[in-house]
Amino acid sequence: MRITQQMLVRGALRDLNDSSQILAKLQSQLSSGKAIQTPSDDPFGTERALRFRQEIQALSVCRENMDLSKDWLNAADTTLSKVTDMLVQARAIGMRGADDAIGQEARAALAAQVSEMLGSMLQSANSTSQGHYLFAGYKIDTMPFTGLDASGNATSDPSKIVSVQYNGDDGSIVRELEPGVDMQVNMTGKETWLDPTQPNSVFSAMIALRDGLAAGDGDAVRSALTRIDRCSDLLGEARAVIGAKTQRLDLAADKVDTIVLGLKSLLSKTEDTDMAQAIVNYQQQNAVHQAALQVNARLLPMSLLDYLR
Amino acid sequence: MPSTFSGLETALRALHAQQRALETVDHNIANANTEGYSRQRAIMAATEPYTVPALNREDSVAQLGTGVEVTEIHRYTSDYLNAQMRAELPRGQRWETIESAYKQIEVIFNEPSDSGISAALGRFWQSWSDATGMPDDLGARTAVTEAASNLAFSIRDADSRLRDIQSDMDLQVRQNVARINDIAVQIAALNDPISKVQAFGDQPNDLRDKRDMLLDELSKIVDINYYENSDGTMTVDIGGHALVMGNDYGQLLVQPDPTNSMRSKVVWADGQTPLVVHGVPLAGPMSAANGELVGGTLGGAIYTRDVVVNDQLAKLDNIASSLIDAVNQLHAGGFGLPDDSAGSPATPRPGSALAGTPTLTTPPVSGVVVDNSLYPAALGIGAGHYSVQVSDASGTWRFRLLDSQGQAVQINAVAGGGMTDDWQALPSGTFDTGRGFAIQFSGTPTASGEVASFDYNNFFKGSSAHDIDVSDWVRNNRENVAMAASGDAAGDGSVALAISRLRTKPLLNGFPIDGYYNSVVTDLGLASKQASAMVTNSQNLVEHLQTRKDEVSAVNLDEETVSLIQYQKAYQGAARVMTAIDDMLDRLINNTGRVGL
Repeated sequence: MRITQQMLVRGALRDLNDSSQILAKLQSQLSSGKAIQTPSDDPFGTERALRFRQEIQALSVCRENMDLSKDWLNAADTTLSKVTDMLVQARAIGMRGADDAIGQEARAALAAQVSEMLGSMLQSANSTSQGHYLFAGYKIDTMPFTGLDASGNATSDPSKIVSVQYNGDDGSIVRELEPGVDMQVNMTGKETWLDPTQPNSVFSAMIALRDGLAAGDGDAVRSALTRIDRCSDLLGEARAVIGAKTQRLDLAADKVDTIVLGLKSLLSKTEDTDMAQAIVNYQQQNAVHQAALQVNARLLPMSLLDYLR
Repeated sequence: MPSTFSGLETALRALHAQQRALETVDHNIANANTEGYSRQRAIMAATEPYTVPALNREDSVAQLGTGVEVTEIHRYTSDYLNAQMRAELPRGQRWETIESAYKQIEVIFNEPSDSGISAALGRFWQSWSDATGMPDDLGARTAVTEAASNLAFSIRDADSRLRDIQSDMDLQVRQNVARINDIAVQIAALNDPISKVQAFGDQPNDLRDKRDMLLDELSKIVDINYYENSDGTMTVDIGGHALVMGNDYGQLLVQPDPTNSMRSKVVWADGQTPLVVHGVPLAGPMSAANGELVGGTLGGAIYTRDVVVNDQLAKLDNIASSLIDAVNQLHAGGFGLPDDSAGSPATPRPGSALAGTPTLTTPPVSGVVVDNSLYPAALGIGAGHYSVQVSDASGTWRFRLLDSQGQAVQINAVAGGGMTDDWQALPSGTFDTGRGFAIQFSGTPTASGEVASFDYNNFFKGSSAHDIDVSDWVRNNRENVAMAASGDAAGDGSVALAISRLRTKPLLNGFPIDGYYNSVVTDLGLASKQASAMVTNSQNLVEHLQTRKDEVSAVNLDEETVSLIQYQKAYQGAARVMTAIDDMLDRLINNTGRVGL
């Protein structure tokens, strides 16, 4: 084979160029920390990286929703526990009022107490979380419960309230627990213990108790007491449901956290540079490059002319 | 008996020949680094011998050598290697053009990253999902429109940058054609002196080198056929149509092609017929299968322009139009925030008046914008604002269009009943409670569905990747983002939830939009990788062929140095012979017969 200068020069240039390209690639992988810089670096890795990112994002949204849902459930639970306490008190008052030995004056005083409690129950039922009414269904911007007087007008004086009106709807606010899994986080005014049209709701029972006491009707007071008991039971069930939901949220949150952690490490494995490997490769390539430079530096200037006089 | 002085003549010829050989070596050394130069060598041959005339042949040799002459300056080149090279160059150059386009497209998509379309899509779904929890929060609504606007921009931006590549490639087509024309002229101009020099029996070596280089360059641009005629001229043709023939040359023209979005087509100047390469005419949109056949930078540019980029554009369009369709369908059936400004009780915004059945009889829905470019006035509808009025005529829903003055507009009746401003019945099946109803003007439907053309309670406007955007209806009024499934329900985020769930819904070839996009990026990566591999393969082959060509044609300075010494010594030898003969003659002429003087 005939070897010519051009062949030597071209070969040297090509090899040095190839080696420089590998060095440049390794260098950018090292300095950016990313093994995949364009899809062609690793088409299937790119697909995985994109998919992991999307999954992580979808799960993070759920995680945020969970925190919001938990706020909402906690607020509802606080309100419910307040109402429960009030019902216990109301029951004690009712027990005293049920005793026919007690005088009408004392009963009237008890009725006034019940009236006040009805007022604060109404307040509790209208309680908000971050400016949103908790028990209004979808109508979170509408005060859900108004007390009406005998002529059907709204009143703020609890002693005049003869009935309560619900302004909300039965919309169930649903949040995503994990992708594809929903959970209803609100309670509406249509729940049996809250719905003013139900005989065993807090409002109906309290109004009945107050009216019984005011009228001095021992039987009415006793019947109101059984309604309060029934209502307490319903309330207890509702609180149990909230408790179960909170627990489910906590579990789901733990699960999502674990999955996200796993996905993040998978993502990192897919698209981040394996530093140790890359550094070793870089050193290796660097050695090759230097050897090539040295060999070329010696080989290229060789000429017969150097040895002729 | 030969002449007394024949030895001198022989020595003189040797001096001439060695000098000519030295000059050739000089020429080689001078051109050691010249691109396309083929080394030359003075080929020497003994001159005609002298036959000694003699009556009797017994005591004398018959023939005497008369020295040397240079018969030819030989040019070392291999037509076989040249032909192989010119067959490989179009393939390699085609792939190089395609590869560089793919690299550019990869930069446009910029994946995997936090700023590509994938991330924008993710943020879009996330904003809807976030809003599910707080549909009455204006901040969350702004986040939705912002994320959507960002996504729409990302898609439009990618679309327009892909189109930039397309026009770059079109420019390359024009430049390549100009260069082909230029080279054709130059080859024809070289054919003339080559044939003349050859006619005298000489070798036009350096002119041939130039012509070979031009042929190499031409074959980088397009596939060519060529052959050398006996007079030394080169005939070049592309797809059977002569480009160069003797001193004549053909020229190519670039014309805007109305069948291919006014992109360039390539035709012959004579006859205006399309340039045909391997049976594929370079006019009209190139199909993927045909695109494989046309080589060179010209073929690569056309393939990239008509196949590679169009493919990516079509995929983007798929993403955009399915996004527009799916989101709009859910959105058009939803309700915005209750309008509290109207006083109590809160009323649903007009955006959804068409959605529920009983509300259909309510007053006309305004804000229907008719785009004149989509619906020419000839169809009875001019540009501007219209409203749709709907009524229930004993169980049959009817509609008519009102102009801004409340006058009924003449429209073409359903099933070709002529122009009329009367009520039009909504045939059963066209009335969709989820989306309101659709009025399609004949002849010019839009890809994303008819409601979209009204820009009416739509979330997105536009129909494809180049015009997708958030509709003005939503952009100008965040309250109009429909998140609720019913009116007057501030806490209802079920439409928002449904839209956020489109993320996992198989909308495109059985893929969700995200998954489809992932596969687009993966396919792009694979195609780009394949193109790179093809370029590397071809470069290796070209490299190999070039090495073999160098083996034959290139100058080796050591070799030339050896030749230099060789010819120099021969020259010195010839001069010495001349001196010897001179001495001999001197002895004969001046010192012979002087015995005793």
